[in-house]
Amino acid sequence: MTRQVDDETLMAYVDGELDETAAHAVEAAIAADPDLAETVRSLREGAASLHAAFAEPMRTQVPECLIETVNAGFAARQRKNGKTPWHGRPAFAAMAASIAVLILGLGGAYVFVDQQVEQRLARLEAARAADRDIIQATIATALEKHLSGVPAAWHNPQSGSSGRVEPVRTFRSAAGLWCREYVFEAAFRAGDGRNETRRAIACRDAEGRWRTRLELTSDS
Amino acid sequence: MLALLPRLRRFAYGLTGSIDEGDDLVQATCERAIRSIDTWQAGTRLDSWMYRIARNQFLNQIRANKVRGQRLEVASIDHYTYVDGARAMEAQLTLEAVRGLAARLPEEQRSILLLVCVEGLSYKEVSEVLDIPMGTVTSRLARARATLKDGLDGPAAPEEKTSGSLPE
Repeated sequence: MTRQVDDETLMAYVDGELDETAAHAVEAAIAADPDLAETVRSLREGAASLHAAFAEPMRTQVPECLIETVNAGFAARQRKNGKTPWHGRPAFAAMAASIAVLILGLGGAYVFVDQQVEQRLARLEAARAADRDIIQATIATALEKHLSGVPAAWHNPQSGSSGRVEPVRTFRSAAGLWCREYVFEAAFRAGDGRNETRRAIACRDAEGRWRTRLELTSDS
Repeated sequence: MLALLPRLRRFAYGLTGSIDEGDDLVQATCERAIRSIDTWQAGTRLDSWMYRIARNQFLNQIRANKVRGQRLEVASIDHYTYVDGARAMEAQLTLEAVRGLAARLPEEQRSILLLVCVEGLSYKEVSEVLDIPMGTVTSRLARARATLKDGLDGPAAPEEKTSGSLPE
């Protein structure tokens, strides 16, 4: 069978470069040809793994010195042009003072709510348990149903926590099991407001359950 | 410009192959950009303009290093030892392998690959950032992707850890 769509068009399709009509034509061709579908899957997977490979700077704090470079650079320019930078203006000082007063006031109020701490801890634990359940379910769905590069989002309204699970790559283990590498991201809102990113490999066992084999965590 | 820093750091990480070298590049890029901010046309995309400066700064660094008889690219690549696809995955090193393969691409292909697949620019935006025709963008992008795919799927590499050579 000859291919209906050339590689460059497939690549443009994956990169979102085709207009709607052309994209529909490619989708129809893909549906009819597993070979094309495989090429598209592989292109998406390549882009997803590249994206994941260089994602670290997006998750970590920008170093202070870089922020300082930008701020100092612009401040120096403004001084040259005879303008005062915004944080030197009187209005800013007044605003900063009123915010400080507000924070102190809130701190006082907090003491009165302290007696409710026990109840809050119980709610917190329930919210965390719900987070865990939702995460388990999302990982299972993402690994079972999502193409590599297509994230599954999760959200727990009870805790406000949210995140995503994105399969990055699919392969066969030496033992012949299907395994997938995935990236897990979470912004936990129950309690300490921790963010977590994990890279992990899970393999599908004989009963069809995905078991995580290897995990690398970076908290922030 | 502050809001662009995370993405610039990511792009610089991709170009240099190391976060620290990337941050040095971002530093140089910001200084350069602020000095010549008057040449940025309001209404055009600031991010494209900054990517362009970052890439030019990177090329300058490579040239400077070549003049001094060193090669920055080779120095960066030494962080990686090539691992074949299957072993890489078992060791949870796919992403490491991707970084290694990207580092080995010619700079002109690597920039395009990063701008399209990581930074999400359109082909047209890339052709403007790099001052090359659209056709060149697509052909180099296709080549870069093929190299990456071969590197990840390809036949097992020789057992010895050779750095700096790709299996054909």
